Amino acid sequence: MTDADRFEAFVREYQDMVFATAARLLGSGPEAEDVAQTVFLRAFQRFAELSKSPTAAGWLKAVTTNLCLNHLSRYRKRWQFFSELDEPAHPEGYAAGVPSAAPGGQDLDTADRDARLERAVRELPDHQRVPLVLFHFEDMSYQEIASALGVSLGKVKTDIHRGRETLKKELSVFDESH
Amino acid sequence: MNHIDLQQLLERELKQLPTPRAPEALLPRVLAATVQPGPARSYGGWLAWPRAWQLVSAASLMALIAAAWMLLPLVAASNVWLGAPAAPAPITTFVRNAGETATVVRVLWQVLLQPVATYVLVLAISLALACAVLWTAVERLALGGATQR
Repeated sequence: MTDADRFEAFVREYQDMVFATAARLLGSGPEAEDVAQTVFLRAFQRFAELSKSPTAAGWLKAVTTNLCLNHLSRYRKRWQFFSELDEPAHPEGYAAGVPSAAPGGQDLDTADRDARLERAVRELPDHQRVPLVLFHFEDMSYQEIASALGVSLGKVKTDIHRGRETLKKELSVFDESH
Repeated sequence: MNHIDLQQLLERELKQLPTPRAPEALLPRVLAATVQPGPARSYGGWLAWPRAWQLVSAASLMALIAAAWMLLPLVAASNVWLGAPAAPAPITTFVRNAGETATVVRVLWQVLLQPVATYVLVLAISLALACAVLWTAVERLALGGATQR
């Protein structure tokens, strides 16, 4: 097996994990794809050591998270300034990348519910979605999130709570209609 | 529903979400990017130089300008050399013109610019500081720092 083959296998193994982390943090499929590509290019540069490392997944997650936070900080601040008044974080279609069809064998309602929840997560405003994703999907503590984002602990807790309320509302609407 | 219940409910719901699949195009994109030669290292200009090089180059440039400033009038004033029959006419003319230009620039500097240079410098520094403070305040207060690292 050549190095190219081994790297391809490496990307195949981790691409879903990297993409999922980026998509949830950024709330956008196309942007997540760009970030995922950058992550794997960085991995390629140090593939010799990374391919043998048992912590490759952790390294990929950390790099993905950092790149996403940098991306959000660099490209969205100006826009956020004008739109962070509890408006949806993204224009229509931003969450269009969330699959809505049920995978084979899965209950249609469950798949629909999952898709709806996934979409609701991606549609949260940046300042709610990012800490919520870091808490629930990346298993970071409130304090770690506050440090990573450079905001107060109270703001992190408030934003996550508001995000959860929104998601709960979304689930309630779905459950009542089914 | 209190905070703990809400947290546990969402924890359950979110943990059971299937991992979003990467788009089909991601793998080919990554593989294509790894075989392409990297972009040519762009020349970042003087600002991209190492700090020591910047200092040395700036000092050299200032020394050069200072030397020219001091020497040109002397050269232009040395009529003996300029008037020597061996000196070609174009060179003599060029040196004389350069000397006259330097004198004019020096007079303009001393009469017009030097009296206000200090004030202009202080004003520029104050404005730059004010802009920096204002931008920092806008970032922290208006943007909420939600995505800062």
